[in-house]
Amino acid sequence: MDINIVNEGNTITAVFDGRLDTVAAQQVADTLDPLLQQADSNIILDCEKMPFISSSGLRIFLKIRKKVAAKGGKMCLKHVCPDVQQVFKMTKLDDIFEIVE
Amino acid sequence: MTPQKDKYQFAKKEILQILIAIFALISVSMVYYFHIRKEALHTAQMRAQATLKNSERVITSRMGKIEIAVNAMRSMAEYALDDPDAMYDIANSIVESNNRILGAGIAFKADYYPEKGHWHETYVGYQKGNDTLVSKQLGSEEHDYFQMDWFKHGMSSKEGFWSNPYFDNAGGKTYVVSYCCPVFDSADEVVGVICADVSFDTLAKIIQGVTLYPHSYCTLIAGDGSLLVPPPASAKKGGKSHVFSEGIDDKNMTLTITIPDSDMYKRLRESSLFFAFMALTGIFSIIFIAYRLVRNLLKLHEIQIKEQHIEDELAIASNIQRALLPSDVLPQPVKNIDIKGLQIPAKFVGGDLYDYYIRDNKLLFCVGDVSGKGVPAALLMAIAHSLFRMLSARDDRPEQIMEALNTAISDNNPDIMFITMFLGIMDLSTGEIRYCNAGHNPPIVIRNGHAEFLGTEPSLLLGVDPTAQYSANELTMSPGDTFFLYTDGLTEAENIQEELFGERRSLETIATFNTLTAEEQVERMRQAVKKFADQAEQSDDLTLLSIRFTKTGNTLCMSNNIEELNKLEPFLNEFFERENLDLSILPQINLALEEAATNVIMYAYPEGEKGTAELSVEVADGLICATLTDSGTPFNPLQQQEANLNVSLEERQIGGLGIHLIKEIMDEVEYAHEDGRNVLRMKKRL
Repeated sequence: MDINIVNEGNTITAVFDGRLDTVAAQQVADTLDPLLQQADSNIILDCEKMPFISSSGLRIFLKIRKKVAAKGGKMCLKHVCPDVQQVFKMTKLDDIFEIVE
Repeated sequence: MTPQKDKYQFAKKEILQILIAIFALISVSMVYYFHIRKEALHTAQMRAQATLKNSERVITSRMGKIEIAVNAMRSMAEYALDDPDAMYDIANSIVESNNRILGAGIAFKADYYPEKGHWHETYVGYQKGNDTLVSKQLGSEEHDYFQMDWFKHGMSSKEGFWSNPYFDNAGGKTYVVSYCCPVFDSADEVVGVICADVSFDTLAKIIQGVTLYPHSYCTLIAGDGSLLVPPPASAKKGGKSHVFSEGIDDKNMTLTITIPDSDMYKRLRESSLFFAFMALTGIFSIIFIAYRLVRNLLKLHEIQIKEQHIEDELAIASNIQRALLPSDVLPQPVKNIDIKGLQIPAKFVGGDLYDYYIRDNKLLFCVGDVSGKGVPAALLMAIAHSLFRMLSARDDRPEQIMEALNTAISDNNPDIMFITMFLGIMDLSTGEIRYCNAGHNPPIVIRNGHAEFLGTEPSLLLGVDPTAQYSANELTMSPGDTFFLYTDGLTEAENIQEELFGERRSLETIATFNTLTAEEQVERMRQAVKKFADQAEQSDDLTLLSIRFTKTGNTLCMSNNIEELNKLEPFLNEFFERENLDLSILPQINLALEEAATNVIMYAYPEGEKGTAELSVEVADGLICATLTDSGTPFNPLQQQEANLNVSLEERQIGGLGIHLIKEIMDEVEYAHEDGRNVLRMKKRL
């Protein structure tokens, strides 16, 4: 799993490339620290190249979402594939996450 | 019954047979003896009768001559009755006609010649003691011949007869018999009796010359029972005898011959003595031989009893030893391996050893060979076996187990017996074998139809150096691979030409086993060795142990390391591809199983303890069935508190999503604690 973080002014875009399974979730935890630190920004999680997410992955997303809410930033998920979208639905996270095309 | 009491029991038949043979021999001898005895008697009888007939003829002939002489002179006397004095000449003629006649007389009835007196008997005879003939008139008051038997008989008789013997005190003064004839006058009236006296001695001479047997003798008995010729003085007194007789009727006599039994049966006695000697020698020989035979049989019997005893004990030892071997059926069906062991001891109990059992999803196995054979080897084997079980129960490191085994055996090994042993621990999920080889024959690995010996150099054998160090090696089995262990009973099996089965032949045979089950492999190898050895006796124990790794793609074993989860996706991809399943549900299934496996890997085992999570999947009845098993702390994930999804962001829990996802995705989820393992069964309709 590769995560490419792009800073464009007040917008931070994290591009997820690969499966965000349990192993990957552990590995990438540190990589996502900049997002947490800049939770007051406009955060975009690009999921176009992420075919799979496990509960560990969900927890990472949820953690960021909570931080963003606390710091007054904004967060949205882009290009979520149906399989992953299904997972959000099952966990009712589709209500919490703003998912855009 | 104790063997002592029973000592001769086994030879009873033989002893009886010998006794019967001896009895039969004696019986036949007795019958034969009596037959011969009867024959001897018959022969004696025939001979006696012939002799008697012959003697009778001689006597009759001699006496006949006397009769003729007397009869001839009787006519003369009848002619000259008128002249009493002529009677002397007539009597004289009789005496002179036959030298056996002692004397002759003509006695007339009373007062026949009145001028001669009342009595008148003209007598001519030899004087006793000399050869001079004397003539005299014998009749007188003292010699009243009218009263004598011969005269009375003669007067009433019509013809001649022989008198009973009597003492002639007037004439010859000796015992005599007389031939007497009546004398008739012209008017055919008996007027007197003419007699010739014959002494017994004369008759005795005839019959005493008859010698049939050395001590046989003849007698002549007169009509009144008196003895004319008595037994000779030399006749034996006492002892049994046989008497044969022949009557000489017209002479009023009976001739007898007496044969002592000692003479009659002399030859029989001699021959029977010889025969008895031979028979006794034979019987004693038989008894001697029989005694030796029975004694040897007895020894043999005792040896047999002892051998039987030893064999019984060996059989018991063999049974105990067999009980030590793992039973053919493992306590529960084991996934991923197919295993079969076989042991054929050479001499009831052997020094070969093999064992295997399963613990914590691991197969622990060993094959060993104790030096030597028989009971000592079996005992050490039993000790080694117990040690293997004991030491391997709490250690997963083959080198540690081997070192402990070696120390235990070396420390208490007064007879310097040693053991070669191959010990391995196989992870049933991964096929990984960690092994340690203490001087044992290298196992054979069959992989893709190619067989080769495990190349690792063996370490020192057990029991030699208590401080020896052992190291372990590793080998990972792929599905379909076989690990084939054996003892030198295989490679050193001999045929009649003393050729060895050998390593090359073992490899060649085993290379054809690729697709066989473990049981078939072991059986084929056994038959190959049997066929090779042919008639040759099995000289050493034969032990074979085949372990096949049969894992199919349907089981995934992960150790409790989070990285292991990386195996899950490829495993499921393969499974979906193999089962030709709808790939659209793959991500969901993957997610659910990953969540379940994560739970086990992260939380089932205490910090720092090694453990596994075994996942098996299969398609059955339109369901994907997944089973996740672990040996960790008993824990039911379904009772875990689920995250509440219907709350605001601030209240949402970070955890608890995994179990929710499993329940959400799967149609059925069940938890059970079975055999000390956590088992989570998950099903999803296709």
